[in-house]
Amino acid sequence: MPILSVQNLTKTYFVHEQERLVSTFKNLSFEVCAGESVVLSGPSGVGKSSILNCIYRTCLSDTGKILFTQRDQDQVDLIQLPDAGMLALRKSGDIGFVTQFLHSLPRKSSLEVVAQPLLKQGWKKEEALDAAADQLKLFMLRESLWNLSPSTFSGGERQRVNLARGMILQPRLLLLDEPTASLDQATSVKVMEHIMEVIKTQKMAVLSIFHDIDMIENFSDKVITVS
Amino acid sequence: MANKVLEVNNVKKVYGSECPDCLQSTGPEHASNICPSCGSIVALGGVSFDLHANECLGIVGESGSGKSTLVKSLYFDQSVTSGKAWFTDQQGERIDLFAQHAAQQRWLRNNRLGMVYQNPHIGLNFDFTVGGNIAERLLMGGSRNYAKIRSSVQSYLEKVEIPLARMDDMPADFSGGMQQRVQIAKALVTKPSLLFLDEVTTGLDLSVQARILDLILQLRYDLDVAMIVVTHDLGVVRLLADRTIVMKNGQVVEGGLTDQVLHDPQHKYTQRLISSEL
Repeated sequence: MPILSVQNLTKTYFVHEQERLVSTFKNLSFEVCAGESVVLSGPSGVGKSSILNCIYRTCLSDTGKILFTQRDQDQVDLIQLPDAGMLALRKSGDIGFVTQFLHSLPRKSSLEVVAQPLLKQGWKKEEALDAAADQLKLFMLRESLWNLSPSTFSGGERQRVNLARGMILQPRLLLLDEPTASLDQATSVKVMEHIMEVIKTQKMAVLSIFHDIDMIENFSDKVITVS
Repeated sequence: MANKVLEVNNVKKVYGSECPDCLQSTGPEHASNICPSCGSIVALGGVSFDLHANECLGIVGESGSGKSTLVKSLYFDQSVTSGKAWFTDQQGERIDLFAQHAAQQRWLRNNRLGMVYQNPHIGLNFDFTVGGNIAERLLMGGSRNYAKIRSSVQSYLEKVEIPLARMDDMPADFSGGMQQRVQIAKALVTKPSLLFLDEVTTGLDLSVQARILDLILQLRYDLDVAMIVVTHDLGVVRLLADRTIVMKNGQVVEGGLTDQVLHDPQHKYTQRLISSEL
């Protein structure tokens, strides 16, 4: 059974100020299985990020189904799921989302930012910080930066903190919105190699958006073209 | 799925004589909460929402939208005209908040609920020391053991990062940010299952705001308390709240997961509110 099955998904935005309907994708269907990396491709503005947002409920979907297979193999429709159920899936690390932007409290160190999902789950602070340090090491962030706030970092460093935070719970379904957009080519490849290794060993299902053709070719099992 | 701590159903608060037209002729679609027929002010025009255990709910909206009236009613600072609010405490007892008499309301405030006001002059008694303010809550809750009260007060002052050496100082000698932190300690010392935060960072400078928000987040993880955060600052709900409801003219115009409300607002008013954010 696939971990994620999107069926006939449609999303439109209504802009009240201009009384205008903005349509994105229509009747979109695809599946993502465990241990699989699926990439959404298509020109800017076609609604790729909106697909990830609909799955993570950052956006509301119009019609269709988003079926997610839980750990106990029960399927839930993420569109129909009450807010509390969606929050529980996010908190438990069943579904994770790494965007291009990192929202964090000012003056929090990178270690604390990365450890936050574990603290939310009730981990002891020292253990959560140790696990965060391991993640930052895997994402090759210099140790001298660990105790500094990511707000002072370069785009690439901040993105790696963001990825470390997204990966710390090893979610069953991980959504990545241009995870390597601010990284140089060599670092992008290293970061993605690490993510792919975790996907394969932990049997995670990953749905991502890349614009770089090389990245799409090297790090995808399946490509879905959105038009 | 988590249990519900609070179920608020169709709560109304009308200032004035109240006529049959009041609810139909006020609200966001009329852009007013003053009844054109009788001149009554409809501060709350039928508000409903749920709050789950360990959850933080944000209430946003412009001045006069009724958000503070709502939490003040739930904390018994004001009465409501009609509606129900069911509160379930840590022991699983389901309590009809608006059916409680004065002594029961006082007991709930002292033992089960906590409130942090925007204005520390309301939340703190400026004639008592800081330690005395927090101890007063424990005394009101029935504690009589001096040593235990003093150690509880010390431990909560430590949690909100107030130096213990200043425990016996008066609140007037504290800065605005410190007064706010004392209020938070005072609200939490009785280990309430529901905490109300009414514009707690409004009027504080940016660095103090960050510190207070950080503290609230930390305490939330440590103490497992459900919270309702009232604010007009969208940044505050983005950082603190799991879910958010948006109020205008005494009614809820929309609600949902905080990032969904901020990212994909559905109502005309919410779209305008979010597009006006600096």
